[in-house]
Amino acid sequence: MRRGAIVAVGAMLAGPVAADPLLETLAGDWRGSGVARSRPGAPPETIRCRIANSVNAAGRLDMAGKCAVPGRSATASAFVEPVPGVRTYRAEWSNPFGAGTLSLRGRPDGDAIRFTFLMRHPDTDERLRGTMVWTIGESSFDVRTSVTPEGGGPAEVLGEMTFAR
Amino acid sequence: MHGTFRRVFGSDLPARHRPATALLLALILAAALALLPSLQFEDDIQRGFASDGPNSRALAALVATLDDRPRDVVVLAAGETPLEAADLEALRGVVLDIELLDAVAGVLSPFSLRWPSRDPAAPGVPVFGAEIDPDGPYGSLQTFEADYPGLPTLIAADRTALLFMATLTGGLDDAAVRRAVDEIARLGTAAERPGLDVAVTGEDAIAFAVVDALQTDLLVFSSIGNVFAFVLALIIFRGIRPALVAFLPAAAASLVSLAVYPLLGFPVTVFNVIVPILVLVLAVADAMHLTWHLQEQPAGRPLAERLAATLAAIGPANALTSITTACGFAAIGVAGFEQFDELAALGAVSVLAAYVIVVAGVVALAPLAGARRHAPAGWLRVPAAVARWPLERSGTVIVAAIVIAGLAGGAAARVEPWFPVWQNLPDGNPVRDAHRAVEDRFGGYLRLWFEIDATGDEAETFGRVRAVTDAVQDADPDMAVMSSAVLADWAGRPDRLPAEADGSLAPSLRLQFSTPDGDVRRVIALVPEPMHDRQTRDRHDRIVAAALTAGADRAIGFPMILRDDALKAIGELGRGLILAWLLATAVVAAVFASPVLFAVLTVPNVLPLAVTTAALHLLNAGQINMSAVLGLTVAFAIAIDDSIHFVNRYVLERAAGASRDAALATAMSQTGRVMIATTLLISVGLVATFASAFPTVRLFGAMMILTFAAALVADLLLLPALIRRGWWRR
Repeated sequence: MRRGAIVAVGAMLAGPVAADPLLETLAGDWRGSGVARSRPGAPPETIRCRIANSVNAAGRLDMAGKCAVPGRSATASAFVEPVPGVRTYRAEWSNPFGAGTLSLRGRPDGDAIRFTFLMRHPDTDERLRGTMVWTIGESSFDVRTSVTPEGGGPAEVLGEMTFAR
Repeated sequence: MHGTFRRVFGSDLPARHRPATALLLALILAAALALLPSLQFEDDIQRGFASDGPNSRALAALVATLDDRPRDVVVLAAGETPLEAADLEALRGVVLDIELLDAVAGVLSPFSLRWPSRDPAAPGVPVFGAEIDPDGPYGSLQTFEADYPGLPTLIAADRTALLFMATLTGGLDDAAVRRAVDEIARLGTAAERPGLDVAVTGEDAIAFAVVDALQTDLLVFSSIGNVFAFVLALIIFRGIRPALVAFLPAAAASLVSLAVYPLLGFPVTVFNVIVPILVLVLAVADAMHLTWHLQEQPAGRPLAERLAATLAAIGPANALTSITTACGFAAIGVAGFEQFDELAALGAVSVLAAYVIVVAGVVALAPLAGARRHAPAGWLRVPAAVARWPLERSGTVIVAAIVIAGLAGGAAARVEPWFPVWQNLPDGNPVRDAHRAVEDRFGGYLRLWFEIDATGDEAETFGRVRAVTDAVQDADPDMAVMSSAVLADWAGRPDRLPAEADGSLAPSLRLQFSTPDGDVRRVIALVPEPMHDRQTRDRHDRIVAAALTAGADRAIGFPMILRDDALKAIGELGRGLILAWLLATAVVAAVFASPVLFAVLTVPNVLPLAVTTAALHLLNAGQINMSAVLGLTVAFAIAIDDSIHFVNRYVLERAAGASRDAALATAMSQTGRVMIATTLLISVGLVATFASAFPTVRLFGAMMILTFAAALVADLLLLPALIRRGWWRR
């Protein structure tokens, strides 16, 4: 009983984590569709996903679901969490169709979050610099991902998806 | 009738203890009601065709080597005109939505077609790109078909239909599978438009449609059967009270027959769904005999005495008819097929239980019967002119019967055993229509497996897989064939399956091509049901022969069961019919202590079977299937009841001192009336089967009614003519 009271007092002193309004908006069930490439240079394919998002007490957005291209489907998962004290986000995004897990850094930009990441081309091992932009509305959000060779060159769109509740 | 038999089954015990009898009946009904919620419905369509023979054992052994039985939901999109780019886009969306379901492991569709990774022009590129060209949606597909002939593209050659197959994740229970099937069907509607329909089929979808139709059948049979039986009892007795005495015990017997399913642990199937309606009509007939006799008793006598007299006169005959009917059902069990064993046990137990319930029910309700206030309906009696034929023109009657027997026997000998799956599926159901459309347009979706035992030499083993694959494709170039050799062709290495192509296979698919230890390799052909029509059967035989000649060690699968076991079942049921004849007739001859009676009863009871079998040329395109033989067997076992009642009355009259002609005349006028009434009653009750969605159930009902009608004529004309000519002396 005494130990329980101490834990409760400690929790009150720590205070609630301020909810990130953008991440709060993303909570809930979503279905998305669009096109994606399994790797840079690959042909675009139609893709659909369904995800369930939840924001935990620490303000972290957890995403879990399933994505499908014709003939293949796989589980998808990701998380986005605000970095305390600075207006940035840390995220991990697991690509279900080949590119592995990406670590991302993001910044809010109006009603969007702009993530950047680094990856290697699965075939050529070339280093690529990527951008993933989440544009968030009340009942939908868009995810657009593109990459450019680290040494410079034209940007290539890896995926464009629109999610709706 | 044998004295002991008459004493046991004509006992006045129930009459002397009417309250106890009523209490016993109430307890039986309470127990039956308690069992009803446990009623189950068959949801495994393969079980209906499978014996314990080598085909079934081989398929069971094969499935045991897989992670789980492959459960595919087949989706057919069929349009009146070639599918346009917008249709293809919508259908691809449906495929993706289905892939997103947790219960779906993967979907094979035209949209999953890809150029092989070694293709120089488009390595690994989907045949249908993200954007489908509205002006030429099939350009890329045509090139793919030309480059890789033999690979199933799942789009009809005329482009009006498209197929995809969703493989469900392993380990799902039936409720989860049913939810998945319903959800897939719901998602499919998203691509529908006027002129384009999307429907699901496949073994599980069919099984659920069958279960739904069986439940409807039970409800419809019970409703129509009960209404018909009561109305007819009203017409015959011309009073509500006696009609209730005849009807209520029968309704109770039908209810108890439903409880026999869970009691014995059997599900309701397409074959045994007819048991409750049969029990109802047979029980009404028995109850009618008792009620009729009860009403004939002098009104001044105490009820217990009237009941005792009725039980003594009618009880043994009812018991004998129940035993012969139970014998007929039991004979079905010789077929050695699980579902027929169940039907045999269910029918036999239900009929015997019905005998007990009818006796108890009529005893309990006896005060309602009263004395007969109205003369029996005049139209029920045998017309006087007809009644004279067996006595005055017995020779002519026998010659006419011989001519009819010759004609019917000749026609019956020409019926052909045949049983396609679709006859076992409910009419008007989109699942059945899709099943047939897939067979017509895509050559079917049932897996026919050819197994090749591996040798130590991998190149030699792969060579045999290649040879079997080529042989099957050569035997039917339009057939979809899957094997490691087909994959090797696709990957550009015809001599062996490249490791990367093997690695790209889903584990469940890899297991279908080879056992985990590699000791057995498999070639899979997607085929229609072999008994779809003669051409399909011949093609099936050609493919199997080609594969075995090319080096396959075995052919396994549901198609093999449909080709061989279903026909074997028809033959085995034919043996059951012969056994039913021997058993039922021998029992009657034994009870009447007269071996000659066996031959005398055989003639008027086998003749209707020949007539009804010949009628299959009109009823079922000259084909005899399992339901038809079942109908003949059960009908025989019931039709002999009329003979029993007739002979029983004749013997009673002779024992009372009547001459042979007088005894025959009385039996024809008195028992004949009841025989007409009960035949009418049973036939009208069985008309309920015509409301069934299953062609097999309707055929069963038609066979029964026709046999009863022919048997009635034979019992009223031929049987007395034979006795008149001295074939049987008493």
